[in-house]
Amino acid sequence: MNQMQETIYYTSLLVSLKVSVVATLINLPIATLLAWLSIRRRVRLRIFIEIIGIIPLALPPVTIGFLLLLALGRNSVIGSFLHESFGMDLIFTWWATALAAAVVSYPLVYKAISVGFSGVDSRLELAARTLGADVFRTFFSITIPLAYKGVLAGIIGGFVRALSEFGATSVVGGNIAGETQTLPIAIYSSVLSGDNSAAVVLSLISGVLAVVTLLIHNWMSKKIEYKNGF
Amino acid sequence: MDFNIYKKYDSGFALNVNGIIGDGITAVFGTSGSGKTTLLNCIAGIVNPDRGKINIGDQILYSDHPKVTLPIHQRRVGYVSQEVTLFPHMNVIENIYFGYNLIPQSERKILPEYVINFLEIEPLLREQISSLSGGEKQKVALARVLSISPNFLLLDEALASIDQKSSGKIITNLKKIWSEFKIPMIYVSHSISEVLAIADHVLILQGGEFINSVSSKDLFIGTDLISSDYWFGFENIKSAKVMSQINSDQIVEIKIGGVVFNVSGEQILLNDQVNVSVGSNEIILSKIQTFDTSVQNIIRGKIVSISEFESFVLVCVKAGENFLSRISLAAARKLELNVGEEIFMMIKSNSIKVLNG
Repeated sequence: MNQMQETIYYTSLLVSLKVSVVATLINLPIATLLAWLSIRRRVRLRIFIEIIGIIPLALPPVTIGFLLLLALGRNSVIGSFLHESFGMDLIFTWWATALAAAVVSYPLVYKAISVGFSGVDSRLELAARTLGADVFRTFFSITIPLAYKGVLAGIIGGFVRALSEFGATSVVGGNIAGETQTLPIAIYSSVLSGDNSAAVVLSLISGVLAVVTLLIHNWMSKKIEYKNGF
Repeated sequence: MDFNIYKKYDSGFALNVNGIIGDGITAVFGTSGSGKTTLLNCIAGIVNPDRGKINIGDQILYSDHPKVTLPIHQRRVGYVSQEVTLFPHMNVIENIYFGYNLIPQSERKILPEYVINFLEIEPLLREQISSLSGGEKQKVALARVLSISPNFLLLDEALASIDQKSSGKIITNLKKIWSEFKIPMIYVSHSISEVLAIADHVLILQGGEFINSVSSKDLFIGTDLISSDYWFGFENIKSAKVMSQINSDQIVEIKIGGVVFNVSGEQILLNDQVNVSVGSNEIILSKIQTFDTSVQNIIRGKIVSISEFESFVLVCVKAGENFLSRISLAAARKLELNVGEEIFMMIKSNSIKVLNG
């Protein structure tokens, strides 16, 4: 194992973690809000919320990447605004990679949190309201703690999906070592260059990361379960 | 509280009621689907009426003109429903303090510590909700709503989910809550036995409208105000004082309304105040006092009312308190009963069940 290979393992791991954490942080509030609106408030736009929640699953990740490229490129409304106002170019940055990972993993986060919310007895929320809790207090004291399994599954599922994303992230982020080169992109790059030993090590790192994440999920689940006395 | 509520659902059902709820415990009696829960939901703010008004004293909870809809969390109406809605992720003490911690300090008139002591639930405080019995859950639910110092209490079939034995303590507690805290209550039920055991006043709801408003005492006498179906399984639930310890014959003496009754095999403490239940079909009526019988309770009383239904007759007998006896049409014909005449109630000692929970 040479110095350069070691650097790639290290940087691609860091980029993957950074991208997946940011993707999860982007998804969490959006998916939570939309899932709550859809399940509890039964808003008129529910069907659109449901479609948004499912469509990234139906589209090939490369298509999502391409659409993001069109939406965020310098010729697009958003891209030109960011460039002219802040001198910022999103495409081929780790931000774009994180955004692509967020879009691809969104359905998993949304669906898991929706299932979590549907499992909460709405009468408990009403009881909290009659006891003097406003909507926000009820949400954070009753809904979220009781939907913890769904929320946790959404966080972990979204994080793991973002970790494994390749198609969309490679289109909008490219393959810049230390910037946008995630573990799957580094594996692909190693295979293309015929460096199978690096591909094996990177694959092992990906596998270990996935297993550790799932172990953390189980540990947290049990910890919350114990705290809640379930 | 005074209200005038109109609420129509897509199903076509409409609640159209108005009334004034005074002090004490008021029961709303009605069949399933008569609108009882809708009425409570409108008062609590869970459902908004289509039109009308709801006031508690000077506070407007809802008004269509001028438009006022006080949010649920600002109404301070304690709501205890049939399905106990204790928060499963909190223990008993966290449940009790949940609402208390949300109300302004200046409005905290009832302290949770006092309520905990009052309802005798200290041993349960660190318990998880899942480990409580039905009766214990209902007591914790009561403690939780009392701790928000509510302006009004709404109780929706509060005894429906607990066993008959445990219901006695809850009945006692509801009465104590009124005498101790002076919080007016609406108790909703489809059980006429519960209604007469708990409430001072009864509003009879049918098809979304009040068809009668009577005192509990009057309902005992005017039993024909309610369909015979609801009287068929009637239980006389009475408050009693334990007068003796269990004797060698396994008999305990209790006093109901100044009259002593014998109860068999119950482990109850001397001087305890308990609720007891006697089925209306367990009270045998006799025009003559006979001692050659195995029956332990032969109580002299006076017939207050006789209501004849299609398949049975309900006789209200005053013996300290009013008791309802359900007898067959043939028995009523044979006895030729008349209002005002003396009668003997014969009740086996094991037909009197102590509800102590």
